[in-house]
Amino acid sequence: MVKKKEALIDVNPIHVVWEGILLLPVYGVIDSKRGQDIMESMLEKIVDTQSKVIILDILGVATVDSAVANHLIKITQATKLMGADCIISGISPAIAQTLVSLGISLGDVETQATLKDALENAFKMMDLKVIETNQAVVG
Amino acid sequence: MNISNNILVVSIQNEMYDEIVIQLQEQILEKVHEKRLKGVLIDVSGMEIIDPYTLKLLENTTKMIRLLGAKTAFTGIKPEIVASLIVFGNISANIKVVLNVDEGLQILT
Repeated sequence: MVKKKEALIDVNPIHVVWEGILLLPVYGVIDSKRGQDIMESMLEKIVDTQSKVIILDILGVATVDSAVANHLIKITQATKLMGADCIISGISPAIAQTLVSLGISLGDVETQATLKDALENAFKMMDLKVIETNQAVVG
Repeated sequence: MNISNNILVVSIQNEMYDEIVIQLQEQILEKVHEKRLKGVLIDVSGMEIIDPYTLKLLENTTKMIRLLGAKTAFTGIKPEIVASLIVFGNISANIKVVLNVDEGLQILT
């Protein structure tokens, strides 16, 4: 059981979901070591892929307290310094409640409840539009 | 330094000591004022180290440029520099960074 947990924590997959859009799902527990690892691999990936928008999906994060929020803020600050924008998705009602009652402000970081909304937003930021092919033919 | 389409493109090739940053600052401001430029794009990809103090100087430069009525964007900050600035510096830099020179020229015009 312990081994399984460790294996999960070590992986920081970053997906290129679209040209210029990265998806970074974060799972498990975020401590400072992990936060830093995630940040570093993400920055490298931004340079490699020349991505403009990064979606940080925190749906799988066990708990969000002030320390975790701090890591998230740092990651978004770092993306800004690379010339990219960051959207945090996967904010559950419980997390929203915790953040506000703890008095934690995510600053001007853009947040969305679901990955779907974040992706839509990312498309908008990239001036892209998804249309149904049927409609495209008619229109 | 070269000017294209009313934008001053500054490429920093080596390490910036404080005096050099201030010298550069003066040169940029003179140029912006003299030519009535609308934007300044600073490419820092040649810099191996940017400490919080240098960043502060660069941030101040953008404030000065803004007072002259022009916008500033940075590009080419290395990932390891970003990581160390964020992790150790705990900075809140109020600068506009773009992904590459092309995007910078697009945004500033």
